[in-house]
Formats: sequence, C-alpha cells, structure tokens
Amino acid sequence: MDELTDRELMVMFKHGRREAFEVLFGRYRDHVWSYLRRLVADGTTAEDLTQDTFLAVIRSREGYEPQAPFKAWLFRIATNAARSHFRRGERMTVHTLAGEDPEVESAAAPERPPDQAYEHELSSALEEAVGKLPGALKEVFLLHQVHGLGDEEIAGALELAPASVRVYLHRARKALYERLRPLLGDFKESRTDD
Amino acid sequence: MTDNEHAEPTAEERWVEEKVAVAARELPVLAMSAESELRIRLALDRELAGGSRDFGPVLTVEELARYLRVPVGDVYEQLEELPAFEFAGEVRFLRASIDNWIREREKRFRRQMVESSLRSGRVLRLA
Repeated sequence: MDELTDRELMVMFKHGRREAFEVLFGRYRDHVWSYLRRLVADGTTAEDLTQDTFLAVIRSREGYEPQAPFKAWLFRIATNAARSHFRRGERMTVHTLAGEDPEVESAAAPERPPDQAYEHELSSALEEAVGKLPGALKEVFLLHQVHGLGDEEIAGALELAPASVRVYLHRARKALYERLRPLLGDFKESRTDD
Repeated sequence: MTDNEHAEPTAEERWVEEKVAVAARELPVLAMSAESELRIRLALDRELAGGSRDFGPVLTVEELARYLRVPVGDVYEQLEELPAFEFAGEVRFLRASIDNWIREREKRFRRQMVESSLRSGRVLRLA
C-alpha cells in the first residue's frame, strides 16, 4: 500500500479502508508535527494541534474531493488549527528551537570539527531566524523549504494566490539572509572571489 | 523582485535565494517523540473505532451519564460546565460537542500533570 499516492489512499479511506489512513498518518505525522512545532511555542501545543489535524482528516474524509491535492488540504487543516490556537488567545510568539537543550549543546560542541561546527552554527542560527519570521512568511517558507510543497500547493494550503506565495517566499528568504549574512557571506565579496 | 517584487530577480537576489536555499537544507523535518505518537494514535483509534456509536448524535442527561460512566446526579451538578442546550424544556447534548469538551479537558489535565511534574522536579517529557 506504500506505493499508492496520497489521493488514492485518501479515496480508499473515504470508502472505509482504515489501513489507508494508517499509511497517510505514517507518511505525514512528522511533517505535520514539525510544521506545527515551528509555528507554536511548545511541544505540548504542537502535539495537541497535530492530534486535532488528524482528527479533522478523519472527520472530513467524506468531504474530501479527490481532485484536491492531499498535501495542500492536510496543511490547510494544520495551518487553520494553529491559527485557531492563536485566535483563542495564544498570540503568535517569537520563539526558536535553537539551543533548546543546553546540556546537549555544551556537551557536544567542543568535539565538533570545524566544518561540522560551522554547519551546527548555521543550523542553530537558521532555526532562530525562522522562528522570528512573521506568521505568513514563516508558513510559506516552511511549507516550501522543509515540507516540499510547490507554489500551487502552498497557495491551496494558505488560501493565497500563487503570485503572493512567490512574493512571501522572496520576502522570507530576504529576511533570513539579512539575519544570516555574517554566516552566509556577501554577494559583492563572492564576485570578488570569482 | 527588487522594488517591484513581481519583476525578474537580479543576480544578487538569485545569489541570496540560492544561499538561503542551500542553508535551509540544515532545517530538518523534526521527528515526533514516541510518547506523542502513542497519545495521538490512541485518540485517533478512538475516533476511528467510533467508540460512542451506541449513542445517537444527540444525548439525553441519562445517556451522557452512561457515556461518561458517572452518576446522573454528577451530570446535573456540572450542567453549567457542559456544552448543553435546551429544546422543548429538555436538556440535550450534541455528542460531537461533548467529545470536543472531553478533548479540551484531556489537554488541560495533561498540562496540569506536566506542570505538577515540573514543580516536583520530576521530568515528564511530552515532546
């Protein structure tokens, strides 16, 4: 069943094949959790919202239209769950996942060779910079860069025009670059290096 | 995408996009913890099993008491807290609203457990 497409699985689930849902859950649980974990302030909330997302998939299966891209539909549910959470009074917090476990950081850091140390620094800085992006830019960037959705799928998930997705993505990259410039280097310097 | 964000990107903008895209490979899909997955699976299993299919979509007070496995008096005592409605002088509950109410209480209970374990110094990892 693993070779079936998302749409095929969703149609099977709609017709009562529970095992099709199990495959979809296995395929997307980490994606949904990861996306929500970077949108909200803590792991417990992300878990609650992930649960709400998949419960909504179960309850909405009758209304699923096979022509609708599954990923866009799934991430629309997840995004709406996060937005409802913020509307209920939990404001969109600026938070990052970088350096959340100081004990692990301090124990591991001295052992890293220079290349890995740079990658680790970049990874932490990137995580922090993404955490500070405004809501819509963060949603677009994560869906594109981490979860592999195309412009059309993101547009469907976030109910935006595809042109707006491209603009948001551009702004997100620009904002991230400004924060990461000390690590990524400078365009003019790169020309000089050539 | 310079001043006009819909225009063709400049060489510098393309360079920045490429740099950020390469750096963003360092952003992994985070894996859910085994405990989180187990809790979510249990909730999904309950939903898929239709654990409450012995009841219709609308419950009476007595049915709700059976559903929650508590005495009928407890339902009357906590009526103000419950998502109830009145029709023709009778109190009724929409089962879907009750299920949502239960889930919210589950979340609140879980948070209380985490906070209490943190206060006591015992680490209870939920994610």
